Amino acid sequence: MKGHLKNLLLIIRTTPFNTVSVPEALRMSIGLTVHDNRVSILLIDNGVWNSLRVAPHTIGRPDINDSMELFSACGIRVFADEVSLKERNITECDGHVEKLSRQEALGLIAGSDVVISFG
Amino acid sequence: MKIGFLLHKSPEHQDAHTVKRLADGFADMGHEVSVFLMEDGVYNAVVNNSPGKLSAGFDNLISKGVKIALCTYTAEIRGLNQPDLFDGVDFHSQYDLSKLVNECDRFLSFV
Repeated sequence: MKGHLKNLLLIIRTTPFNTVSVPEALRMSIGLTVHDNRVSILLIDNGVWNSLRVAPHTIGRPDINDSMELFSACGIRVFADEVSLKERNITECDGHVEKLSRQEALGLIAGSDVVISFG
Repeated sequence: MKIGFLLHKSPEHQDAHTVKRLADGFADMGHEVSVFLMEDGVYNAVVNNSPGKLSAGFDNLISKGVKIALCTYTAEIRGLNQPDLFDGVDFHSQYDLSKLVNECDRFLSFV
């Protein structure tokens, strides 16, 4: 496996504002693309709140939008679990977020070489 | 085998002790072990001379050849600098973490 393309998955299960773990996860995801890594992010459980367009700077929190805007340039794909979205009545996600069924989300996890879960 | 750990938890968490013990065991078995400390995990690299110290004992791993590095950014924003840390800890970046993840045969995260 050494030196080969690796599929990395970061799972985010927390809301955008409670801790710095989400902005840090997003910062880490960009850094992880530097080497031969294909990085994806899965928003699940309360993590799907990060699929909304938010303005953390208005309450003095680190701004996650800066990281989000770099994702397409870095080839990072962001997925949101449809079941979690439905449970929270979230009907509209930010444009770059792709919705996944629970089965597809499980497939994404199973197909990853490394999974880092922020819970 | 090259084994990497990512640790985000401070010494009061069991995860810190689990990582230390796993790293210790893998090093004893002859594996090449690297530990990357990030977020509150950087507190595991702080020198602590308190008699009842709260520590997982990562300093004991250095002599076994375990490489211990921390995220410079997350250490700095916590006010931690080189003099606060035990010898042998390297200041690294997300670039180095990316390289570590890519090169490891097994990578285990405790975040």
